Amino acid sequence: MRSPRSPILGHFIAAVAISAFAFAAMAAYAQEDRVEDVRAQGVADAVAQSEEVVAENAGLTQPKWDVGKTWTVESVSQRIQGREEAPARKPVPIRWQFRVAELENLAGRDCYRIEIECLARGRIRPKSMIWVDQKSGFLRQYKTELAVAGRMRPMIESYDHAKGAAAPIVTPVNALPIALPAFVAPGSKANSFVYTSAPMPAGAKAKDLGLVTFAHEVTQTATQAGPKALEIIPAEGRPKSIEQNPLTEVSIGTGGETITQIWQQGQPWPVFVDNGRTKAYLVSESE
Amino acid sequence: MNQRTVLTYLAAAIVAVAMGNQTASAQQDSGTAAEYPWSGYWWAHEDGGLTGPLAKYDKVFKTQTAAWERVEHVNRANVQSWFGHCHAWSAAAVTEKEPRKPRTFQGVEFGVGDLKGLLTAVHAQDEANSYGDRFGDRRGTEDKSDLSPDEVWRLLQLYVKQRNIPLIFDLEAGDEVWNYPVYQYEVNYTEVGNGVINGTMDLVVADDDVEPDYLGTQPGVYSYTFTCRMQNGSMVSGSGRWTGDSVDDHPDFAWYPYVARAENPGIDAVRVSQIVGTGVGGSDNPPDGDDMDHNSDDPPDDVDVPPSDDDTPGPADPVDFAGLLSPIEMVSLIANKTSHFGLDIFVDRNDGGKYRAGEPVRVAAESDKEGYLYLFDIDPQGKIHLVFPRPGEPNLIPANKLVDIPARDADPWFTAQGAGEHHLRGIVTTSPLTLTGFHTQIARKDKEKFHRGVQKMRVPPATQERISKAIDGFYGAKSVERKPTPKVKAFAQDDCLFFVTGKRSE
Repeated sequence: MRSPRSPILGHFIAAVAISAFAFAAMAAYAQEDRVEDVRAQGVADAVAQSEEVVAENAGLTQPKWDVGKTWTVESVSQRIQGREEAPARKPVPIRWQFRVAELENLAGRDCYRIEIECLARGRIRPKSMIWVDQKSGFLRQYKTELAVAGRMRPMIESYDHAKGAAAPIVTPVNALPIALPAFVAPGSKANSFVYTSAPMPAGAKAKDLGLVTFAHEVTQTATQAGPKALEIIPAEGRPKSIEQNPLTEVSIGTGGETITQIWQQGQPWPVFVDNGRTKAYLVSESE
Repeated sequence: MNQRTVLTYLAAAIVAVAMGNQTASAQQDSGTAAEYPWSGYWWAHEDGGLTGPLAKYDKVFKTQTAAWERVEHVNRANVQSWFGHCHAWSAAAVTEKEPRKPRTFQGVEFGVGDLKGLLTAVHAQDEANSYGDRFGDRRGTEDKSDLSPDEVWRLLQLYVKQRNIPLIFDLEAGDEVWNYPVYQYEVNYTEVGNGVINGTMDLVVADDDVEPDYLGTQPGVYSYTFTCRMQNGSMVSGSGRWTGDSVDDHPDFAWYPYVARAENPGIDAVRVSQIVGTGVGGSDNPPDGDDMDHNSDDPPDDVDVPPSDDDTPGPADPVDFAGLLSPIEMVSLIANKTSHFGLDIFVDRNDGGKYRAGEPVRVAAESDKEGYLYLFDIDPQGKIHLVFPRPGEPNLIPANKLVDIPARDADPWFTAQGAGEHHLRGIVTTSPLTLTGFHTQIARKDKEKFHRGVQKMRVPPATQERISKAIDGFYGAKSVERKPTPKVKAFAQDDCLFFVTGKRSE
């Protein structure tokens, strides 16, 4: 005759087995999440190397920036608060002076630090800076300042991108048009990109600061621009000698917005920019 | 071991796993600006705009700025009730120090309201960094939802959380523009699976519906719901969608002043800073003298703007959300039949009583518990008016005692207005509430028609539409109830009907 089994031992074994099953299920669910993440990353990578080309990519050469180089950009912004009933008042342009201040190491990458001074009349004239990767032309960080309760206060945002795909960057500072395209080789099939932004200096960790990063999908096309492209540029800003220095029209799309830039070979900055709110053109440059 | 025991253990394990997942998913993100923007009047065009402060400026400098304001804003044809300088006040409220005392300059007395008005005039045409396309200006995409909730969240993180800077929003999704500086936010979100998150977003704003001489910040709160998607630990930009009532009621665009500009050609920032006594537009120090060449196209040399530094002050003490109700949250208390204890509300002519327009209405209330009494008149158009307490009035009532509003020997301030059926809704809460969205500044033309003390609700049209829908639904045939806001733990309510006959008294 067999001796009876201990009921407590039986319950214990059952509890352990069922808990093990539950944890295994939880782990499998998390694994599925990770697989989904990897799939998502794979999708992002695939998008960055998309075979679907919207238009033959004319390519865009990164400008040559030497320390000390300066140029001036003039911008005009739409009045977002204006009404049709109110008298039409011509928007007043603002000039910005750009200067390549120095080559600086930013979070392990050599970057041109470009300083931007506002030349407008009036008592709020923000000073801004952008850091552009020396090798790829990727906009790694910008810093500007805003008037707050009687003092100027800095604001900063930094950017990162998937490996091998320096993306175009659209910054939140749209009254000062500092969006930069991806400088891609002619014939490149890459026209879709992903980058992340975080409201903190480059190199800091978002989680440590209690911040959430945001991922942005951006498209870009670059096409050779003929003389017709000049028609959208105000007469005083139209570049000369386009035969020797051809024009490239770049269209950057993100979140329903489109930024149009016209670059001319040999110029440090786009000769014309339209981000839907602000139009800007290159006024002058100096060595 | 029997089958029942096995199933019990299995159920317990499943509950444990589910709870673990739920706890991990619920998260919160919040931020507060370092300084609260100051509340100020929005200078309605139909109320004279900025002519008051500008007339004093003209007296000092022999200019014609008030005349310009009358021609360009006040006396134009088809001035609508929402036309004003809320954009300019918002810009001044975030960029400038608040004037706290009257000043006399060259023999002319300027009150706090005048000083705030002049700072408003300095910012009436600022260049701004703006986000989202303004709906209803017949330009751009004209997409009502182009400023997605994830973009709003990103901007709030960038400005309010990371740099403790307020951000101005147009909170009206439709054609009208209602600008408010947001200085605090709270996002509560939960991941519901496959990277999808559902969330609520509360924005605390500085209100502009105050007397011109108002000091400090009167808070307003606006609440929204949304969904968006995460991927690889980041929010996917553009994936957000407003949900529920927020589909039609959500922020339209956001902006922050970047370069200060006056609209009125006679206004000079240097002169304004001399009157105000502080630097204007980013400077602590007023300029010396008035020797600036105002006609020059060259930038001035005497720019006394101190350089920015990275020692950004930390966040100010956050406003306690616990008792601060947005108009929608307040309506959720009204539009339901929940009562945790007993409350009786009476009008002096009893339930169903009739009053002629202009006659006083006396109210009595008795609550089973001590608490804070709030009385609302819901008029025949479904509009909500706050009858009691009046601004600054104590409203704690004892338990089990009949309380008269007003006291028997006091003059009544609540009179019958608006012919038709009215509901007097009483609510008693066990902790005090801060109600937002009520009208403390009454436009001149309404002052005679509206009895002093009763506060009208003044919120953007889309929010008003949302409120009206909730009220109509509750008092309509189907009596649709709203879930009361979880911010209010225990409350009681009662409703009393009365009728107003005849026209509103003049």
